[in-house]
Order: sequence, then C-alpha cells, then structure tokens
Amino acid sequence: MGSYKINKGDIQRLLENLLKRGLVEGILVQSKGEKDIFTTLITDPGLINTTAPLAPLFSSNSAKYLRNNGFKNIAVFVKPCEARAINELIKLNQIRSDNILVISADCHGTIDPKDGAISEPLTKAKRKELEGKGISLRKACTVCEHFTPPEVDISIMTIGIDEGYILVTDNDEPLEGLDLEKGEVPKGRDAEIEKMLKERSENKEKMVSEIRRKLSSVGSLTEVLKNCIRCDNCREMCPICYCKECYFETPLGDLKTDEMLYQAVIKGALRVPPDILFYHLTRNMHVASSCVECGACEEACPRDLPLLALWKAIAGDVQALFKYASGMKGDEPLPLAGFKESELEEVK
Amino acid sequence: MTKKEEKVIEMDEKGDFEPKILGFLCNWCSYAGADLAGVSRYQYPPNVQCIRVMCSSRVDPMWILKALTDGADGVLIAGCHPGDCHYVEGNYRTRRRIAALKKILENYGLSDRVFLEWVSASEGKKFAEVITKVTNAIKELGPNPYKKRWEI
Ligand code: SF4
Ligand code: SF4
Ligand code: SF4
Ligand code: FES
Repeated sequence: MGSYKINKGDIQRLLENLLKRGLVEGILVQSKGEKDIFTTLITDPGLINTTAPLAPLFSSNSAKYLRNNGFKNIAVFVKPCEARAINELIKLNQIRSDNILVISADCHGTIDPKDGAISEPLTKAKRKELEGKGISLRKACTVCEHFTPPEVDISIMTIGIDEGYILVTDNDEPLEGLDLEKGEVPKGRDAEIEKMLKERSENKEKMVSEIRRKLSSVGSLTEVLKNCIRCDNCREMCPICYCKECYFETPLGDLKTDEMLYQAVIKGALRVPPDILFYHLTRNMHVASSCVECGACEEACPRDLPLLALWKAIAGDVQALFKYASGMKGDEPLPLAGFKESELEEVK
Repeated sequence: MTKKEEKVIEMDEKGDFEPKILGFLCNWCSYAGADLAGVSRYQYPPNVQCIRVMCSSRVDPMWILKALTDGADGVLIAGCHPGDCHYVEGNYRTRRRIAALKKILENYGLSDRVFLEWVSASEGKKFAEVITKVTNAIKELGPNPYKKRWEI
C-alpha cells in the first residue's frame, strides 16, 4: 500500500517491468503507430517505448475485448469508464479477477481518434487549444461524472497535480525494482475534481431533462427511435451486452419474412426491420444496472440515435433506485443478483 | 389472433374500451388463489388472460416488454407474499426486477401498465379484487398507445 511520485517515463518503466519480470503475458495499452494512436496488446518489452498510456482517445470500450478470455495473466491500462466496465464484467462472471491487473488514470476527457493523435492528457490549456481548431471532447466525456479511477489495482492521478503524477496502489508487488519515491496526494486535488464534476453534472442534467421530455409521449419517442435500422452495432460495441446468444439472434427474435407476416396481422402492418422499440427496451432492461455511460453505443450508431442521453436517463434511474454506481467497486453485489427482505414495498 | 377477433375483445356492446391484460400467475399461490376465487364464485372482470408460471421469478422481464410493445394494455405479475415463495427467495428477486423494469418504463410512459401483486392460495377474494383493480386502472388509462402503432 502506498502512494508514489512518478513521471511519464515511470509509467512506461512500470509496464516494461511487468513484462520483463514475467508478471504478465501481455499488456493492453494505447500505442503510437506511424500516424495514429490506438489500443494494442503488447508482449515485447522492447516495444514499451511506443506506448502512449495517457493518450486522451477513445474509439471503443476495450473491456469488451477481455470477456471470456483464456489468458494466464495480463495487465490493462484503461480509462475509468473502461475500468468500470471491467469491474462490472468481473461481477457478471465474464472476466476473471485473478488474472488481470487493472491500471487506470484520471481522465480529463477524450476525443475521437479521428480528430487527432494526441498523447498527453487534455488539461484545460490543451483543451482550449483543441477547441480553437474546432475539436471538442467526445459527448460522453462532457457529461461524465466518474472521470477518476474506480477501484482498480493501480490508479494514477493526474488531476490537480502540478508536477508529474501520483501513483496509488494497495499492492506494491508490481512496483518492485522501480525504486519509486513516496509522494502525497496534493490538497488542491479535491477542489479541482469538484470543479470538473460541477461542470459535467450540469451538462448531464441538461442532456437528461431533454431526453426525458422526448421519451414520455408516444409521438416523441417514435421521433427518438425512428431512424434505427436495427444494425445492432450499439449492442456489438457495448462492453456490458455479453450474451453468447442474444434473443435477437434466435429464431424468436430474428424474424424471417413468414414470421413477420404473422406478426403484421396483429397491428395490420409491421415495420421492417421489426421490433425497434422492443429491442431498445430489452437492452435497457439488460444493461441499465451495469451501464458505465461510456458512449460507445452512440458512437457506433450509423443513424445518430441519441443513445448516450437515453442511457444517462435510464441507467441513471435504475442505478439510483438501488443506490448503485456501476463498476465503482470491485466486490459490491449486482443489484439484480441480490435482494433484501424488506425493501421496495412500494413496488406494485 | 385476427383483426376481427381483436376488435371483439377490445370493445364491449356499448362501445366501451375493454382492456386486454396479460396475467402471469405463480403456480403455488396466485394461480391457486384464482382457482379459489372461481370456486367461491367471486365475480371479477374477464379482461385478464392468465398464464401459469412456476414462480413469479420465472417471468422474464422481456415477456412483459414483448407484451407491451405488441399492444397488451397491461401486464400483471402475481406471486406469493414476500417470505412465502415456494422457492424461498424467488419473489424477492421478482420484486427487484419489476422495480427496475418499472423505473425504465417510467421514461417511456408505460410504467403504470405493469402491476406486481402478492396473492396467496387462500386469498380468493383478494384475487378477485386485484383483477378488478387492475382492470379498472387500465380502463382509466385507456388503450396501450402502441396497440395500433406499427412505426416502431
Ligand atoms: S466517459 Fe469519462 S472516463 Fe470515459 S473517456 Fe470520457 S471522461 Fe474518460
Ligand atoms: S449501453 Fe452504451 S454507454 Fe452504456 S455501457 Fe453499453 S456502450 Fe457504454
Ligand atoms: S446502432 Fe443505431 S441503428 Fe444500429 S441498432 Fe443501435 S440504435 Fe439502431
Ligand atoms: S413460488 Fe410463488 S412467487 Fe415464487
């Protein structure tokens, strides 16, 4: 257990050390290619110098790539929303907790990798500079309220720290041989976080009240969902949607024309592809208590559905009901996997 | 079901709205409660079409969503009283699931069409009352807006 003063180079030394000592077989971390920065799985310690662990980019929630894997031991360096998805998937028995070392750092927000290959955290000054070029944060980041690491093995603090970073861990073993200098979390950090949180919460409130207005009547709900083409990209890119056989791929949910005809009889006509509302409601029910509001679904949607806002409202409601914040802790029971004898008596 | 049949069920002779409600009844309590209501000749509206399940927790929330998006005016889930579930804790789980489901449906204006009730095997009278209450509540709400909407 300890907190250490580190710099950028120390993060790479840490990763290199993990591979060299054979503590892990590989590391999932962002790396620099020729022009781009993207997520990689690195096994060669010699390539650690190409890594860009703090790059403020997000193209998909990489927790998705860790589900049901047979690896012996790996380390991952991920954003807080990815780390939260990993925690949820551990509770859902889709990732083993004993063979994965999770490292996560404060996140000042990310941009779409299409907009550039930046490798340093998006501090205020950096953000201003980008805004000048017409590049803005991903929508999910402007409304993100969990931008510091959840419960993980190693967390790295970058917010409110003047020089370098602070590394905090409960387990010093991965740090052995690095000779890190002890360091304290500066007092100003909390105030800095508070400021960021306030701005983001306000943005979120606006987003949620807008979508709620649209959802509550049939006409406006149709308006929200009408452009969906049931390509299922949102499901594919969601780290939480993990069923091996999705209902919508079974004969019952993946209707052939003759079955559509049968369904059409009920209402006189059937929209093709069918079951748009049913599909979204089902995903709401299955994902709400674990959704980490990463925005991967909306970014994968070719039809620009406001999925992030929808999830902010729905997941927010369900998690508030159970006083649960998805993925923040590693060992809390999932809301829908447990119960209390006296609770929810008002549900009728 | 053909369109013609559907019309018959939706409106009575006077042209009033007759809701079509789906009821999932737990085998060990509510279904027996329904039986007792019948044997005791308690009167209740005929609007609830019942499906027997082995426990309220057997009801997959997707079934409720499917019913609602296909146009059912309401869905009732009835099980054993908390503490009396034949499988000890099934209905506690049901309660959490339905609570979550109703929370979600609040956003879609559909939450008031889902009912969770506890009716034991000895509560024939309560069964009749529940069915009456649910039917009246749905009559008040009017037909499920998705009944005729095929755009979605
Ligand atoms: S959603 Fe939050 S944690 Fe995820 S990338 Fe954006 S700011 Fe970072
Ligand atoms: S539903 Fe969307 S926002 Fe929520 S976890 Fe899945 S991809 Fe992320
Ligand atoms: S990604 Fe968009 S269009 Fe595709 S199924 Fe999801 S909401 Fe519909
Ligand atoms: S057996 Fe009746 S609710 Fe579980």
